[in-house]
Amino acid sequence: MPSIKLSSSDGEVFSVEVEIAKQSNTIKTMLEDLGMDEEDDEAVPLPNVNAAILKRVIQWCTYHKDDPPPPEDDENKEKRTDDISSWDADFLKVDQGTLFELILAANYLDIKGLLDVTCKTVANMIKGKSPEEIRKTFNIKNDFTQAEEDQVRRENEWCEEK
Amino acid sequence: MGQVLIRKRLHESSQEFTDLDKLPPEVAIGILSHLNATDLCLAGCVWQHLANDQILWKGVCRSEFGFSPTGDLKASEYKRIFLQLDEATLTFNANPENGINYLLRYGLIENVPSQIAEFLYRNRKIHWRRRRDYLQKRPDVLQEIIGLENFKNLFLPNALRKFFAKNRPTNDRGEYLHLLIDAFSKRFSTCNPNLNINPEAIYVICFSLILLSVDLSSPHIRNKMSKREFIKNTKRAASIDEEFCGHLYDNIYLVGHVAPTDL
Repeated sequence: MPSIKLSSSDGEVFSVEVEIAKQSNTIKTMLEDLGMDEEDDEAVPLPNVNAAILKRVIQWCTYHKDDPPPPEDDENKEKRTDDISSWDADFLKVDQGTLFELILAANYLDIKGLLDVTCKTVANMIKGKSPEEIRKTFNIKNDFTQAEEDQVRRENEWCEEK
Repeated sequence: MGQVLIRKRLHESSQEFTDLDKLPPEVAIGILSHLNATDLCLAGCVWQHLANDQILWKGVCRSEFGFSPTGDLKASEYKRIFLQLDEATLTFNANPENGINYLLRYGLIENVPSQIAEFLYRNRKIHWRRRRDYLQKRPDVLQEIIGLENFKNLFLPNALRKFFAKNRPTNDRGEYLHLLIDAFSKRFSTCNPNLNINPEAIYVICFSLILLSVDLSSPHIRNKMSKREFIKNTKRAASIDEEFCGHLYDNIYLVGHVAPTDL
């Protein structure tokens, strides 16, 4: 099984099976377009991902290596965020900082499945919460002035009536 | 030194508050696109510019009502359209004509059967009973709605089940059922030209399937129709081959009734 080396932002090198690494479209493109040889001993630099996160990303990709390719986005489909598999849910039981770094890494590495499931997890943290609760969850300081706050409330009045 | 710095950064990042504003906008929008309208509005109180993105509101119109507004509109306009769709749907579920009139009054659709059909076909929040009430009065819209269905490569009884799940017949099995099956037969035939069965034959088979369904599933009928009998009757009536008839029988026998049980 051919493998390639990936080097994290903090210089740690991971050896990964090519098939697993190719779930990242970024790495796939690098390998195909830039003609990086699979036998090449040089590590692919990933300057936006640190070792701790890269390790988790590789763990996710290893578990999901035999997944069928994700279906095309169907915008008419009902939105669901409760379809996260139990393995993924366990995998994403991490602190918020790690979760956000995973999102950034999935976005940078272009791993659709991981990006999807992490985004859904964050969406679930927002769902059914009042603005105050959302701010509390995400530790956001309310930087609206009272006048602005009233304005926003007026604009959104209808949804609270429901 | 480097080690210390890295550890410090890692430590900080896990404690640091995490805010959608800090993510690339396309990712933040991706997260918010999983929300429904109410949650999106509430999130709008926290991330005003993000949650008021026009893509999100356009998406909500589509995912909740299957409606794609045309043109390049501002977020506030999509929001308004969303509210009007909501109102129209609620109104339709109380009184179908009023609901459609509401849509027409606000220019959300034009008064042509195809656009009314499109609205009813894609909107999951329309109550099937109200929809049926409306379609019984508007056979022109019914034709258009059935034209939107796709039965390609479906086995006839399965297609019929799919069809009845959305377009429930009335209990009296009167004119409306004939109208439904007539429209279904034409559509099924169009979707499956390679089957080489004409709409008239499909029409006949559909009624045989309904009768067989009732026969096999009713506890009041003691002497069930046998496969041999079914093949004999259907083959003659619809001039189709014996093997196909046999498959039809097996499907009803194994899967069950072709129509929802309150038929």
